Amino acid sequence: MRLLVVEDHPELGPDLKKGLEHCHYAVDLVTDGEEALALGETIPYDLIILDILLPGLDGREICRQLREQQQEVPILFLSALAEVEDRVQGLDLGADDYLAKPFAFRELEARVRALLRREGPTRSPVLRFLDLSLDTRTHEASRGERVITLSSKEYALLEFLLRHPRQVLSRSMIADHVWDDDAEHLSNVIDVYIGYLRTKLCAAGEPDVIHTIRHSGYQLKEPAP
Amino acid sequence: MNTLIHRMLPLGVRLQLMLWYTAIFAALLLFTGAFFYQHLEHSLEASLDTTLEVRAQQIAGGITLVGGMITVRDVTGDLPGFDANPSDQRLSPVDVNNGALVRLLDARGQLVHETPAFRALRVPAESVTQPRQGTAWQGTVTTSNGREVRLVSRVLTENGRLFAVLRVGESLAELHTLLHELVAELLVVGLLVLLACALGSYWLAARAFAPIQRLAATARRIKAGDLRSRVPVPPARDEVQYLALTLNEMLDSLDQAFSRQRRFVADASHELRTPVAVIRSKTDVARLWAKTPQDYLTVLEGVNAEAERLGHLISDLLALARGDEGRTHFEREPMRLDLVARAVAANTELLAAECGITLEVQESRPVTILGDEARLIQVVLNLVENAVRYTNPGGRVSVTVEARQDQALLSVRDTGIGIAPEHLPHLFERFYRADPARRRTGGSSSGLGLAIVEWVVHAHGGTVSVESQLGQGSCFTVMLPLASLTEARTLPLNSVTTQ
Repeated sequence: MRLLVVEDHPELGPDLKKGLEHCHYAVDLVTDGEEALALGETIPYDLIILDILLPGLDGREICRQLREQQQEVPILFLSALAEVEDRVQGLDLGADDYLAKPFAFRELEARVRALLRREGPTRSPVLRFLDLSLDTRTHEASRGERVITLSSKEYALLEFLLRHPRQVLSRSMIADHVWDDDAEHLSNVIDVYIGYLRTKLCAAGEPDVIHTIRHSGYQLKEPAP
Repeated sequence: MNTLIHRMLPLGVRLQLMLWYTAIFAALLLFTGAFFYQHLEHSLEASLDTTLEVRAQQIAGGITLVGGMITVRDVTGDLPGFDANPSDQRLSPVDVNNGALVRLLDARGQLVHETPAFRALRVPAESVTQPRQGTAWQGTVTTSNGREVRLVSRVLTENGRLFAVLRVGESLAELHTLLHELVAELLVVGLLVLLACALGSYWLAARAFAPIQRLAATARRIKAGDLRSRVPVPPARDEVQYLALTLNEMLDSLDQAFSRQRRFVADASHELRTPVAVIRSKTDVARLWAKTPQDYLTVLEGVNAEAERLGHLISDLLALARGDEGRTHFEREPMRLDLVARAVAANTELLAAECGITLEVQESRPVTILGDEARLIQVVLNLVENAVRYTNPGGRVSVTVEARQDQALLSVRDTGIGIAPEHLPHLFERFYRADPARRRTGGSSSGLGLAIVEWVVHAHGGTVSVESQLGQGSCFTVMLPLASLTEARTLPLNSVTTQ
């Protein structure tokens, strides 16, 4: 899942990026309002975490403009403005959540999970497909009874596949949601990571659930009979 | 303090040099002046002492002991009032500067005669006691009104028996006047010399900087578009020549960088234009001739393939541009190079099989390095795809990973068409193609694959090299530093080792 974090604080911003990357999200961090709006308009983020007081363009203005352009991406305001009036105003601009600073990182993590759940096929924190399950709280993957250990990129890839079951996902879609801005161009590497993931998911002889659709991409689907 | 002055007065180099020269010269001048003043003062005093001795001797010649009485004859004729009775009150003291200073005491230290000027002097006791014990005495005494007088005491003897002490003095006023005049003259001359020195050093500094000025003027004339011209190098082996050579070296490297950049932009625009031209011609033809859905589908597939090529090219360009800017972040996580090679081979197997090429990976022991896994996968992918692309059907591509001392070694060997020796040094340059005519348009090669390989490998502190023989095949070898034992042990549980 790819997140945009808009935070101009010189320490909080990088800390947020690091913390969220630790949860296997691909995170782009920007410090400037104008740049945030430009990125929000062009890249299909799964979630935007937005500070309100920003250089260039106000966080509220970014939110208003994105909603005006029918952008449905979930937006979470993260601001030191903690008055009821501020929260009401933020949510009424079209934001999905409002977290006042100071905050506990665990709470932010949980809210991010909750917001990402809304978009997917299930409201449960555990993503399931057939005998495959992925706990987004503990980052544990298993197939049946077998626990599978995954690297960060494999986890991100599997989460994206599980959130879009039976959809054909092109390489560029996967790259947009699994890789951050730094590694965006590495779409040809996805095939190799799919290979890794497939090997791990079928390590005990289970049937393959990741199907390669030639010239199109990949699809999480029931195994062919 | 020093920095404060520097901040307040941003002095030019010329002015600074001038000030330094002048200050050093002033110090030298002061030192020599003081030295000569001291020397002169001493020698003047010494010559005065000699004069006094001589005079004392002359006066002593006129003093005799006749029947226990000291009689004085004015031998020199310049001792007015000397032979008067000292108790004569009519004789008032005269200024020490006027008239001779002579005093005569008898053996007991009683005053016998003195010139009027001597009356104003207070003389220390040792000027009498010391000569009586046999040693001569000379010294400087100060009168009540602050004037300095040089005195010499001398004993007179008759048949080896002391019978009188003679003191002769001379005012130092004249000597002091002389010295003061000298100081005044030295000051005036010194200031003039310093002024001349300041002007001279300012002029000299200007002369010294003139070649640099000329160099700067030439350098200013060289504009960004005119990087071919060079500044003239002066023949003398000095700092200015060094500066000129340095400037020229800088211009050389700038020129090279600019022409590399120009060529890169030209190549990039050519490479970008080609797929766009293909797409346009396909769609133009389709609008004119296509009739059936099958026709359109063929065109769409062609357009799609070209768009994919374009996409790859743009991604590669973006990656290299970011790398040039130094904005790229490389992970440093423990990873297994042997597993990467195997995964890449598995991924490329289909392509190789389609081309009728055997792709194999030599079995190897685990080889762990620290690096950015995704980018190193790309390195191996580019090398393997390249090998497959330039190998004829029926050929073989083999990938080997091994650990050699502290290096991880990955080699991709093919039995392909090979590369002519003259192309080898340029192979990793952007858009360089050994043989454009033999390029297979079917692949998604951007012409940047090997440039990206080199960039990523260098960023990991490694090297990449190539050996090739025309018609025999090529071998690309990547060397990367192995992870140390402790680093390898920190391999996280969720890494790819648990396959």
